[in-house]
This record gives sequence, C-alpha cells and structure tokens, in this order.
Amino acid sequence: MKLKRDPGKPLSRVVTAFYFLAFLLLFVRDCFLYGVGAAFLEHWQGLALAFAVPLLNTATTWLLPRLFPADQLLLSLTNFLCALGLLMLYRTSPAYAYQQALYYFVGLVAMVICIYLVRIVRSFRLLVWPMMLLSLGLLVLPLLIGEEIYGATNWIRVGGMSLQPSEVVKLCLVIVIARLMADGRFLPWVLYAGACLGVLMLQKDLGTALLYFGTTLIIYYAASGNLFITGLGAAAGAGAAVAGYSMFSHVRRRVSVWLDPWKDYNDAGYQIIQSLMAIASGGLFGVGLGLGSPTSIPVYHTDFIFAVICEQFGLVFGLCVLLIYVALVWRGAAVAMAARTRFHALLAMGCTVLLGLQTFVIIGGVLKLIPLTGVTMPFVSYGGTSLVSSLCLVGLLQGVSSLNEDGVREDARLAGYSD
Amino acid sequence: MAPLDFEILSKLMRYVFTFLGVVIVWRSYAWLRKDRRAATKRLKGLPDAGTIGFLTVLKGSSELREGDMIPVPGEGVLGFVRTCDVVVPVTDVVAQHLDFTFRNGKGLYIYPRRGCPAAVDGVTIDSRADSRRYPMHHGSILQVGEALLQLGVFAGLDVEAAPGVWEDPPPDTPQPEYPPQLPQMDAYPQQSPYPQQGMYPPQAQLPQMDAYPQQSPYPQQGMYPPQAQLPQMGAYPQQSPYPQQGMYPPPYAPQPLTPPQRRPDDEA
Repeated sequence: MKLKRDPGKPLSRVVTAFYFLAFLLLFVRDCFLYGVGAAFLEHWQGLALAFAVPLLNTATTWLLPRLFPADQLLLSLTNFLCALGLLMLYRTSPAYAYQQALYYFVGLVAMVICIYLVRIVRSFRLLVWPMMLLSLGLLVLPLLIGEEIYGATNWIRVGGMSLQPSEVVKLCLVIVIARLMADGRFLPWVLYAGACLGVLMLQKDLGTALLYFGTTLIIYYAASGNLFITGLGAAAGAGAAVAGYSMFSHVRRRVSVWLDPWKDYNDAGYQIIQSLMAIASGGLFGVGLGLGSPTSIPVYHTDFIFAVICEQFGLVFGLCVLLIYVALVWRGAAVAMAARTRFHALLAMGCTVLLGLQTFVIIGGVLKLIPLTGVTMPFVSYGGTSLVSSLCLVGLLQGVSSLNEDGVREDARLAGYSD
Repeated sequence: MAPLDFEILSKLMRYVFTFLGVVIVWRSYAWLRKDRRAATKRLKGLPDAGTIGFLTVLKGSSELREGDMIPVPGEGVLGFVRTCDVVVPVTDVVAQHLDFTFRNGKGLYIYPRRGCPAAVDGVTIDSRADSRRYPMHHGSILQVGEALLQLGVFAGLDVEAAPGVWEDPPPDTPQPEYPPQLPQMDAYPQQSPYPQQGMYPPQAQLPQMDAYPQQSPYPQQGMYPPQAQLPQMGAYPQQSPYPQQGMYPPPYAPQPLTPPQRRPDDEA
C-alpha cells in the first residue's frame, strides 16, 4: 500500500538545512577572524543561532498547527522569510538581529491571538465603529507628537520605543473595510478610507498611503465587481499622486531620483545607486555569505534589505525570495476563494493584497522599477511594528483558513464523505 | 577583511545556498499543487460544499427558466450581475438586490438593499426588523422583481418547514389500509372449471359462470377486487414532503412589490 507523503516535511528539512548551514558559516567566519577560542567565548551567538533558528522554525511550523488551528504552508513560508530577516540582520549588525528575534517571538504570539480573534469574534460588526475611531486616532497621533524621518512624520516614541501607528492601523483598515464592504455600506467605507488617506497625506507618508489606497480599491473591486467605479477610483488615485507630486518637494525629489539617480549621485541618488551596485556585484550567485560590504548600502536593515540579500546570495536566490512571496499571495488568495462568508473572503483578500502590494512596492523601489517609498519588506526588514503587524495579517489569514477547514469538515460529516 | 580560507569556503557555499533556495521554492510549489489537487478531489466528493440548499425557480424569465435550481451559499448577495452569489437575471431585479445570511436553527435571513423590494411568503420585507422576523424556511417563497423562488434546505440542517410544506402528513389524516381487503374464499369456485386438469368423472357439475369471481383476486395481476377499498386521494398530502421529489408550487399569488420606505440596514 502506498503511504501518503506529507508535503511539509521535505520543505521543513531543506529550510532547516539552509539556516543551519548559513548561521554555521557565519560562526566559522568569526572563528577565522577572532580565533576559535575567542569565537566560542565571545561570538558564540552565531553557533547558538545555527541551532536555535532551525529549531524555532521546525517547532513553529509543526508544533503550532497541533496546538492551534493553523495552515502549515502559510506558517512555513512566513517562518522562512522571518528567519531570512534574522540571518541578514545577524550578518550586517547582530544587535538588530537580537531585537528582531524578540519581535519575532512577540509577533508569533500576536499571530496566535489573531487566529483566535477571527475564530471567536467572527463577524466583527460590533467592533467596526470602535476600530474606526481607534485607527483614526492612532493615525493622527504622529501629527501631534510624532517626529519626521526621511520626510514623513509617521513615527511616535512611546516609553523609549519607536512606533509606527500606520502599521497597526493596517490591521484595523483591513477588518473595517472588509466588514463594511460585506455589509454593502459604501458611505462609511468611502468616508473612512478617505479620512485615513487624508491623514497619511498630511503626514507625507505616501508609501503607506499607496498601500492603503491600493488595498481599499482592490477589496472594493473584489466585493462589487464594478469595474467602472474601480476605474474611477484608480483615476482619482492617479490625480492624487499628481497633486502629491506638485505639493511635496520630497516626492518630486524621489521621482527625479527614480528617473535618473546618476544625476545626483552623492546626495539624493546615493541610496538607490548603492543598492543597484550591491545587486550587480552579487551577480547570479552572490558574493558569498559573510563576504562583500552590505553595510555600505544606506538603510540596509530596513528599506534596502532585499539589496543585501541579492548581494550575499545572488539574483537567483533573490528571485527565489520573490517566488516565496508569490506562493504566500497564492495561498492567501486560495484561502479567500474558499472562504464561507463574504466578510471572511474579503478579510483574507485584504490581508493578502496588503502583503503582496507592500512587497511589490518595496522590491520595485529597490530594483528601480517604481519610485522608492519608505515601506518595509514584510517579515524580513528590521522593525518591530512592521514584523508584528505582518504576522498579525498572517494570523487573520490563518483564522479564515481554519474556519474554511471547519466548514469543509462539517460538510463532509453531513454528507458522510471521507477522503 | 576575511581570510582567504573562509573566502574560498563562502564562495563554494553560495552554490549550496542557491541550490537550497531553489529546492525550497520547488517544495513550496509542490505543496501548493498537492493541496490544490486534494481540494479539487474533495470538491468532487462534496459538490454541494459551502451551500445550504437550492432556490427552485417557480417563475423566472427566458434566462432563468422554471424548474432551474440555483445553489445557495450560507451567505452572499442576490442580484442581476454574475458576480453575485445567487444570480437572478429577471426584470426588476437590480445588480445587487439583497444580502442573505443563513443561521442554522433559524433560517435564511434576507436583507433587501435600499429601493430593492422583496417579499418572503407574501410578506414584504421593509426593514431589518422584518428581515429578522420573517426568515425564509424550507419551502418558503421569495419574490424578487418578477421572479418567484422557492427555498429548499438540505437535510441535516436544522430549519423548520414553511407553513404549507409538510414534513409529515397532519396527524388527523386518515391512513389508507395496505394491503387492500381480499375477497372472501367463499367467492372462489370449489372445483377447477377446466376438464383437462382432471375433473372427472364427467358427471361432475361444472360451475356456473356466475359463480366465477368478477375479477382476479390476485393483486399481482393488477386487478383488484371491486370491493377493495382504495384510499381516497384527498387523504394524501397536497404537497410532497420531499423536496428532492419536486416541490409542488402551492397556490400562491405574487403581489406587486413596493420599495421599502426606509433603509433596511439603518441600525447602529
């Protein structure tokens, strides 16, 4: 009799091997640089991570679905990307990696909470208005007490920690928009989305505004199928982009840098040119992990972490990372298509679109495909708020997926069907 | 600057990492493909997965013929356009006419949108309170535009039947007797009337033809004795209690629909 093979095990083995070898190689580099004794005494973290990261990866991929209703493939892909972020941060600046590991753990807990939130609350009808008020309040906060970083006022400091409220609002936006669209309440939907976008324009955080706008528009199209209104919305967005271009100097600067970065190589074009040079120097197979100079890329740990990946591992591996994101979006779309209720379908679609759009915006910016906007690469870039909110989005997706599984199981029971 | 030995090792390892990266992608997509196949197989085994029953068209249009059965999901939108969960291409049905939600144990709640009239079993649904008061049950008739649609809910779901659709005949219905009464044995001839079957001596008196039974007493020959009481047709229920055998339309007169005066979803 032919036994059914679990498709997750081969993937888990390869991911484990990848991270074990990668962290071990970085530890070996420390042995070469500082001597074996000093490496074991002072730079043992690489060796510890060589065991801890694969172990954590395996545990979260295989243990969590046994304790909680979770989709294993979604977990595997998410864990792979989170661990890749840890690896790159450990390679470039270990202090960031340790902090990111802490955020990763917090994110996993938040993800589990989100799974249960979707399973228990289900309709979110009563939470819509409080969430709308909360999210608008959070978005306004940086305008009042925030600080301007790279031209945008989207950060606040709470208890010595920096926090980006727009990352938290992403979750509220997806839930509120999905609920309102599922109920066919267009007026509150338009007012809420317009208010969020207006506040983001005031913050000059156009990257996040682009994400919000794209997600809202795609959810609208998925809910209504109205191509005409969707087209009108897209035209209005294009108009707003032109208005933003003429209103904000830093937007004009970014567009001119995108068109010709070499014109202002030492100043505005420095980031993108360093990034492109790093990617080019990596070639097809990379310069080798532990070699090269990824820290010469500006903001290598957040916006340009994809350039670091391409420099270290090469374009082929960079393409693999892109394909992993595509698989994540594919899976998310499958979850949305299989959802039993309109709200859950739109919620899953919203989470998927948001993650996919964010990936496209940042990687497109790094590769000079579109103008660079200051958003993070989901799961990989350094940043607690970003990592936790991305894992929460996956948690919402996992919640919908588990409800789908419950529905199929119930149908099979009623029909007396077994695989 | 990294030592030369490490540089060589790292440059060799980059091919291993690239290979592992490709394998990770390959395995992920294999997993996706395998799950998709499993889902397709499961869908074949459960063709009604995700639906709670059917809306049978009692009155439709040229595009929606009488007798058509439309699968009904647990929640969705009914309207004219094909992106709706239940598509009703009939005059006076707008693009997205009404929302519906099924609650096990309660029924199918319908929420008409602004300016979109609808009626359940003859009751016009004007507000959200009406929607909650008059959910559709098994056998209920929904009137949207010029369409009349009758809901049939799958067995296993806990929904009561609409008035006039019997799950069982009423208790006071006279039950027909089965099998019907057979004629008494006295009515049979005492002897065989056929000489070739050995009715000798010839002086044996052949029975008179009047003594023969008027009809065969054997039901399998299809001739019931005239005195057998057949059940009266009136004793049967007027409608079949089994939806799968075809729901006979009850005498139902569609009423002219008027749009609700206020927005049905005007709740806090």
